[in-house]
Amino acid sequence: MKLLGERQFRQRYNGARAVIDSKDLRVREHPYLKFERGKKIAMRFDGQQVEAYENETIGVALHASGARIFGRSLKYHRPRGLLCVSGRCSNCMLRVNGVPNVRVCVEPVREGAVIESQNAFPNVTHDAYSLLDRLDFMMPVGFQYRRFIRPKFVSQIFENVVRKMAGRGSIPDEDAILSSTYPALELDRSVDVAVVGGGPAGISAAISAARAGAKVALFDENSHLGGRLLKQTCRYDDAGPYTGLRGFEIANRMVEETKFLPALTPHLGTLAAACYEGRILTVFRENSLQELNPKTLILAPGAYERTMVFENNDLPGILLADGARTLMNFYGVRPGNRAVVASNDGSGQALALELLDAGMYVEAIIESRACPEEAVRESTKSGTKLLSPYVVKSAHGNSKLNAITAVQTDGKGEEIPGTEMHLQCDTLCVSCGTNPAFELVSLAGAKMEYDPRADAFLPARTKGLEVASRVFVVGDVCRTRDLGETILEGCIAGNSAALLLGYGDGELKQATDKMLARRWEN
Amino acid sequence: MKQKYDVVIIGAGLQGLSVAYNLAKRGLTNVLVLEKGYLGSGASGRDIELIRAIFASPEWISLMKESIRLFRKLSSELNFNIMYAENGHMLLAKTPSQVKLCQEIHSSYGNDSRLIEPQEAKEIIPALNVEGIEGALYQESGATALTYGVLWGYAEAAQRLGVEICPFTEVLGISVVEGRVNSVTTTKGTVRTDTVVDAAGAYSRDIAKMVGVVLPNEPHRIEALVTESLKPFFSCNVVSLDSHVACKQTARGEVLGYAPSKAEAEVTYSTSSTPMFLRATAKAMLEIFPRLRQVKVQRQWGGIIDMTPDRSPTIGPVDEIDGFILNSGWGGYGFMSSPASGSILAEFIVSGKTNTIIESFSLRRFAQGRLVRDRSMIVE
Repeated sequence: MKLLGERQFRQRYNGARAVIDSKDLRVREHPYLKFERGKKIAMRFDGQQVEAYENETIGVALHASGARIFGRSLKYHRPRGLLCVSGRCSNCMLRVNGVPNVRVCVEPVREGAVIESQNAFPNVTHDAYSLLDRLDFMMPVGFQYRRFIRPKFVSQIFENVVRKMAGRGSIPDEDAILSSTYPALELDRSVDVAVVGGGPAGISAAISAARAGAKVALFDENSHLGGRLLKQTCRYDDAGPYTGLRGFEIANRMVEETKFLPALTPHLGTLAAACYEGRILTVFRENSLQELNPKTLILAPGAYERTMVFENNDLPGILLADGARTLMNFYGVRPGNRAVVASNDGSGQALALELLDAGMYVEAIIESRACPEEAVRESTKSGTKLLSPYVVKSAHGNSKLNAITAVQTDGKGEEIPGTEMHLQCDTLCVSCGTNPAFELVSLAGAKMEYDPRADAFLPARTKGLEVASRVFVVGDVCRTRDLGETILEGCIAGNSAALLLGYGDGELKQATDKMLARRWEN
Repeated sequence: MKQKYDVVIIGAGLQGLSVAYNLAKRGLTNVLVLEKGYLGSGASGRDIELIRAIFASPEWISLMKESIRLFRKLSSELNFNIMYAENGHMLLAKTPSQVKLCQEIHSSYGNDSRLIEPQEAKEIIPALNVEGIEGALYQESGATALTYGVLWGYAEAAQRLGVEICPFTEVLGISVVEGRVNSVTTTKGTVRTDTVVDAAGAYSRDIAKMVGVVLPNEPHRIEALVTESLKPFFSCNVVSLDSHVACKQTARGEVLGYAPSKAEAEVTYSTSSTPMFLRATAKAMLEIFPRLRQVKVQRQWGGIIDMTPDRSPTIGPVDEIDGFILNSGWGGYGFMSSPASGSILAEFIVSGKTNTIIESFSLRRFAQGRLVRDRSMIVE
């Protein structure tokens, strides 16, 4: 991703803007996006009435209603808020209709749902156990099993207490069941091509294979296809056939294309849970787990965002960049009112612009890399400061974020004392790269090897993008360079899978070989 | 590594390290432990940590009584918290013959076991489904401990006493001179020794083959799964004599489960997971805890166990080779027996005097037709 032109940034958001302090976090106006929220729905969170809309998730609706603390950490009962907003972290696990440990950020709303705090007394907002967090001076190495073993009577008391404190939610109620939000899962168990992951790589693989004539099942755990791309509003100058479009536009076009292919069946809300020996894939939707044995398998699971390391980096109000994007660009709910953006990959300005688009005030952009001096100088004239090279030193706030301290670095990572800056904010968005979602890929037989170009452990693939016989791995999990390469890899895998099964002709073979050559050039 | 050791132990799992520690405790500290992978990389790091003494045969009962006696003081002895907790062990019976088996076990074990009615079982574990349960046997001193706690505890204590442990060192061969063990060749060189202990778990038959001893042991894969963590809702171990499912809730709140599946029949060194196991175990767990229906399985894993024809271990000296001592064939019972077996074998190595437990579990029993069949064994 490139730095946006500074001029473009200033033209749009020139001069300081007033901080809106609005309780209504739902975005009503947006330069490019329209939000269809559906009809109103009522739920209860710890006895309080919460208003939600049909197309939201429980977590998003709770956030919009002002809730910030969604859980408590296991040991010290530190407050935890929304972080990834993609069902990937353990921050937002609540009890819904008697079912424990439900990740509410991805759980669809239901009329009359009863949502309860767990692992806290009396509730997550006010938790008596959080006292433990204040006692850390007594436990320099932490609160763990090797402590308090002597004398014996202390160990017994301690063990009793600790055993009771274990676990998150309580066992489900006798009759607990989450009502279904999807139709029952109907599968063709011996489908030609199973594609896991409905992001750009997965969709393009599914489309390519289906076009060649193969029967394709496309699995995605989310309620929609498009992956992380669907939440981006910046323009892509590196997206192959879609260059020049905004992220969500590209995603929508690709999803649209899947609809005209009868051989392609998308299975939404369906998690590919595991892959066993012999290419057996287990998929899970709501209350049913099923196995299938596809003739070929294409894995495009994508990547997880990383968190940034600084003091108090778990305070509610600190969000991952794509988590913030999901909230504001997909559900139309602002993460907060006053934001700071911190990045170490030059994507800070793009994200700041998206926050401004959603109607937030952006206090500052903190880039750990050195930006051109001109950009820094220009930024002081606009309302949003660009601090570079700066890093976040610590976050402040009792139970939610209210300020951060940034500090200048010498460009090599060493902090310069005396340059600390205090910035008021209720939201901090951190953007610092991703880790490959390697789990399924490893289960399918891939070895993770160190890749010097990406400086990361990535699945070891053949030149034909295979990790095992008839198992292709494509996209962000292999840290593709740009969106164009992601889509290209998808096409290659889709075509190759179809060709392996005898679909397609010499022409398709030639086209695929050409794409492969392009993929591996330089 | 030095040139010469009094004893070389092959395998740094629970059994190998327990022998090493117990030797050092008895003053024999010139001991080397060789391990192909990392400490506990075999079955030791993969078991589900059940400890019980309610077995159906006198051999197992006396072994496990000794083990529980040693477990009780292990934390302070090793100066390492192994999280030993006597939370109880419950055997559930569904048919009259299973109830009869419970009665038999109860009368031969005695001690602190008691036969209980389904209602009392429900009082001990309120979430238990007692429908169809005819009766149960409950052992108060049934226990659990942290397998890695025991493993690291033994390793650290042994090293403190002077034992040398070499991980990532594979044994390539064992030389025998005039019917006696002479030296061991590893990937890191050759060492002289008179005594070798074969505690290589599922690979023990390959080690034995190096000195020409044929073991009847076979490697089989067994698997386990664990759910997401829940607040404690039961504390004792639960085993069904009917479906053979074994469950317990860990100190972290996860529910561990094991039930036999078709995948176990295969002789294999593979540790990969199977969907057969997942299905069989989920079904069996739901039968005893129907309220787990909405709970997610967090992970499943496989491990290879060393299984003998009668499911009982092969320990002690072998007739053909002097100085070659077996500590193998523990099947799924290596964790719970490790304190006793280590201590008994160390005693034998130091004093040369054998005892009844070593006698009854010797390799010789297969040739003599003295099999130890225990009807309480989970594995069918």
